[in-house]
Amino acid sequence: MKEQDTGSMKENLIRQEDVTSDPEPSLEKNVPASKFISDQRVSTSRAQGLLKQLKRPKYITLTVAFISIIVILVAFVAVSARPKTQVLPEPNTEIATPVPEKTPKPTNIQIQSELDKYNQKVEGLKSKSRDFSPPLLDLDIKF
Amino acid sequence: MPKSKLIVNSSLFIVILTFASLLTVSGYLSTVHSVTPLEQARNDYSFQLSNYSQSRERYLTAQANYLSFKTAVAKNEAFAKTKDYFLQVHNVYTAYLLLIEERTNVFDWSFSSYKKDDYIAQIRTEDSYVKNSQAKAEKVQTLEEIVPLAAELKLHLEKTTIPVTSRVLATSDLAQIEDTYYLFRVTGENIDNFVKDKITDTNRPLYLNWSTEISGIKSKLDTQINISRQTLAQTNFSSTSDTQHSLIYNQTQESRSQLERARSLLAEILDFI
Repeated sequence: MKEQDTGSMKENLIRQEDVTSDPEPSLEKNVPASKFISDQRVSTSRAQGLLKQLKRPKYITLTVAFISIIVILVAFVAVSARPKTQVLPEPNTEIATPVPEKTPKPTNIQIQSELDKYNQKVEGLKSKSRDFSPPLLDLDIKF
Repeated sequence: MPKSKLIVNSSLFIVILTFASLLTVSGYLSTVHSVTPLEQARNDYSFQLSNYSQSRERYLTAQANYLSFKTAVAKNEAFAKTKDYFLQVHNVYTAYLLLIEERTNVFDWSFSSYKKDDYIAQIRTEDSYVKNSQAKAEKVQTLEEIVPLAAELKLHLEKTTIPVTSRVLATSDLAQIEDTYYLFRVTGENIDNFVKDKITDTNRPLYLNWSTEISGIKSKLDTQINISRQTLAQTNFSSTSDTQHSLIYNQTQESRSQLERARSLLAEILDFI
């Protein structure tokens, strides 16, 4: 193969590379404006379609439920969060000897019951005499 | 699910939830704020008094119109309003007598020196009188018939009904003090029996002083209650005012103070055993 032929072949290859490496500018140059506008319309209609879908009750319910779960989770975390400065006391390691609890004797319970009843009766003595005054009605009917 | 159906179901759910919540809250409120028979009687009495005030205004207006114009229409209107007013007076006294009866029901008369049934019978006798008078009032058809009936009712209320209610109230006050005093004696004895074997030598002077204090209250109450009984027996409940009842009530005030003082005193010794 002669150098002239290789040179022309090289030029052809270079031209082809130029063509393949910069396809978009050439495509942009070649796409008409109407097709660009229709593409935009397609994307907005898709967005509108997506919005319509989101307005469906199923998706609204799912969204509300998801947000509720997140809020509850955050609330639980906030409640259970401990301040960093809080120092937990060490547990008391003393072992106390068991002491039997004083159980109230039946007589004591009876006395307490009588005391409660007495207190109730004394409270009941506090009604005022004015609460039961007779009505002052006008029965002087004359014509 | 279609959107409209979802909205309908959600609305129904919210309505049911609201209704259930209201039922729960009202149930809770009714248990917390339950009304005693005495309170109910007092509410009824207040209600009738309120109706009486309104009825009296209408009666006075109709009376003034009739006295001014003297027409048959004015007279008929005066008759209607006067009859209504007169019947309302009966309602007030019926409610008042029920209130007095409920007052006697707030304590146990078993440990009193007075018999409850005697006083209930007196109240019910007066109630029967008022109801009979009301039945007569309902049958009147002219203005002229109302005037003597009103005068008759007024006389009976002043001479009989109000003195009876005044006596019943005074007796109820004293009987209730007697009932409370009885419980004071019983409780004091039980506490003394419980404590006396458990008191230590260190606390013995305290116990003895406590015992004398309790005995002192008992002695004062004995004296005061006896005086009140005598006063009650000698009181002539003839006045239409509340004077006699107030007299007895004020006299028994010292007894109330002693019984109130005993509340903390009775329990005090239990802290030292």
